[in-house]
Amino acid sequence: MLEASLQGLLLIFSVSSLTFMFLGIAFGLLIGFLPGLGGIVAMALLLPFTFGMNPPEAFALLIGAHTGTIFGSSITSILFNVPGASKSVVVCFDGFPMTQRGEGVRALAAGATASLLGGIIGAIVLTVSLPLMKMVMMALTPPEYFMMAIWGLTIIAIFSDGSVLKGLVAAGFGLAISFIGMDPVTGTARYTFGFAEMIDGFDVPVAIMGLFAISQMIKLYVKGGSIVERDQSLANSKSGLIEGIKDAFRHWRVVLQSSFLGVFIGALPGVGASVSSIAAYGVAVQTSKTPERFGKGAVEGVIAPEATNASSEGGHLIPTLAFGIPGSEVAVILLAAFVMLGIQPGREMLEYNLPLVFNLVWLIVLTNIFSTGFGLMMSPYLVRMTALPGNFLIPIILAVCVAGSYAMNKSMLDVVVAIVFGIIGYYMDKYKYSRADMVIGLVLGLMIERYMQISLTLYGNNFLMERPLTSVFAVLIILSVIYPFARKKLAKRKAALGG
Amino acid sequence: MSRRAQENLVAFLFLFFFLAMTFLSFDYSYKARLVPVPVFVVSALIMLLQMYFMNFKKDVNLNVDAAELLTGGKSNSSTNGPEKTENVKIQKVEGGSELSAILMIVGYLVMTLLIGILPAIFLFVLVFFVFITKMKWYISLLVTLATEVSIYILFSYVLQINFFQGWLVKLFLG
Repeated sequence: MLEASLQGLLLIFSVSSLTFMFLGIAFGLLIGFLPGLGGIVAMALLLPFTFGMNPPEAFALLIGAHTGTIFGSSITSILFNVPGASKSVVVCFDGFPMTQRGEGVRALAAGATASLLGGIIGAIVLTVSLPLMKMVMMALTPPEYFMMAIWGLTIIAIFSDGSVLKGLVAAGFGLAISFIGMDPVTGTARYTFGFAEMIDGFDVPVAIMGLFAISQMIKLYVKGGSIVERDQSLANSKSGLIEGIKDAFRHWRVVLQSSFLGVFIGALPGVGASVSSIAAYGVAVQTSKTPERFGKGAVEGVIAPEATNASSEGGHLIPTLAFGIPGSEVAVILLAAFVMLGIQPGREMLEYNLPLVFNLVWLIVLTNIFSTGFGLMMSPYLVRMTALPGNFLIPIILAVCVAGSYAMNKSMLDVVVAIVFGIIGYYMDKYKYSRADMVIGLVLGLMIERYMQISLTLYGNNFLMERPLTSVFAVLIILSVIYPFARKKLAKRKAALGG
Repeated sequence: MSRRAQENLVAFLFLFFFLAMTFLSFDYSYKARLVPVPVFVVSALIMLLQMYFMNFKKDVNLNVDAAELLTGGKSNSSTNGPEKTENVKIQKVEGGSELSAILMIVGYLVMTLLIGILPAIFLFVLVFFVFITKMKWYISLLVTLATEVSIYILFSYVLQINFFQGWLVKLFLG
């Protein structure tokens, strides 16, 4: 195994592989910058170019591009509240308030370092868990997936700044929007008002772009000024960078728990990376001693989703390599590349092509190191963009948002949807109906409905009782809701005893 | 319009949305409405409860940070009222009115639908820089051209996307 690992590493160190890896990272960073376009777009665009390449070169290009998009989309999320991809939306919740406070460099540095650590942990777990994950994946069935989605909903209250009831309404609104389109079981077109274009429902990244990016530009226009005062954005650049790196190590528990969660959820086929970043954020809040800081610029709120987003890449590869089942859309592209290169994933790959498996693992590690290095180097310069006057940024960001929303499905309906959601998002923010809660409802709605319907079909009305593992998840949900209360009470009792 | 009236209007719009969706659901089969209807009904009930609190329980402080729900403690927003999220001193450039912002966005959308994405970007960015940012016309033109060319290179050349051409362009040029 050690020999295969070394062979895998050596495969990267050829001039062509290294060149393709850097090209991939640069391309990924560029695509990540563009709102709405994530790793899937970057890899899909590069796939045709891999024809005729040898496997290490093709993997270097594809993995490099995908890793690049992760950090690229985080930059826009942290600095402008414009999520580059749907999984980066959680980074906005605390990243942007940090930027507004003049701590953009610290947020970028903390995010980049957490991403690096998450990527490395993801790669290590991928290596260790390949033989074990089969059992875990086989044990989980639709009722457990359903319970995981319900678990995701338990963090709604965290974002309900202003009123818990309003937060719940916002989540209900998000769930309602997720139901628009074809019913996953009967195939009925629901709430489409006869528009054939709406049968597939609203594209989540398009809606998120409207809710956060366009509404932020409306807010900036109304408010005037810039995102951050110039002096504030440039001050403490160096110390912010070092503080950010230290933050990721200082909150090593958040990095660890988020990375493991990222690998675990990433390994489950059909569960998107946005779900894992929401879950990691929720766990970070629930285990924090000061949960009230979240949503207002807590650095752990940047570290948790960044570590998860990076580690879930290792997770996605587990079912792809072990069984040939793509764990995500990105893994589908990778699977297509395997087929194109004549590689058969699954048992055969693990037995006869082990150096290639390790080549992928090492690529995850190295591309994370290089894109983090780039991120740390560039963050003091990137953060200066936030000091530009709002009236300079607004038309450019709006233009990129319109082009980006159209580019996703080449549909003008998406542009209309992004702008309508932009206006809705502005008013939701104004009247304190949490947009974050709406996104959680939007992302988890389909998962809840799909797995509940499948569970009902497979196990009947008592599906929650039929499966012992579901009960374990139910206990976890109850524990995660009552844990903060219990901890608060214990702390009070301790203080009383101490006093 | 008072803040309370505005809050009520927004709450009513949400309530109307949930009720309309519930009503529409009965056009679909039992399986297709199994999950949506309970979500709509519960959301409508929560909205009604929120409206009741807003209008009849004036002594109840609704600015409860949800962190309280988790920690049982009092956070800044509940003790000191809503937190000022924009606490940075940044009023160097005057802001515009809300109505003009919405009209601008809707106008941009209509322009995109009529003349297509790339020409609309050029016109919108140029007009914005000249009339709102009040930059000198030649600088505005330069920045607009740079934006247009960058978007063209990134989307049309690199990503191979053929942008929407606009209804008017299709009507007159086919």
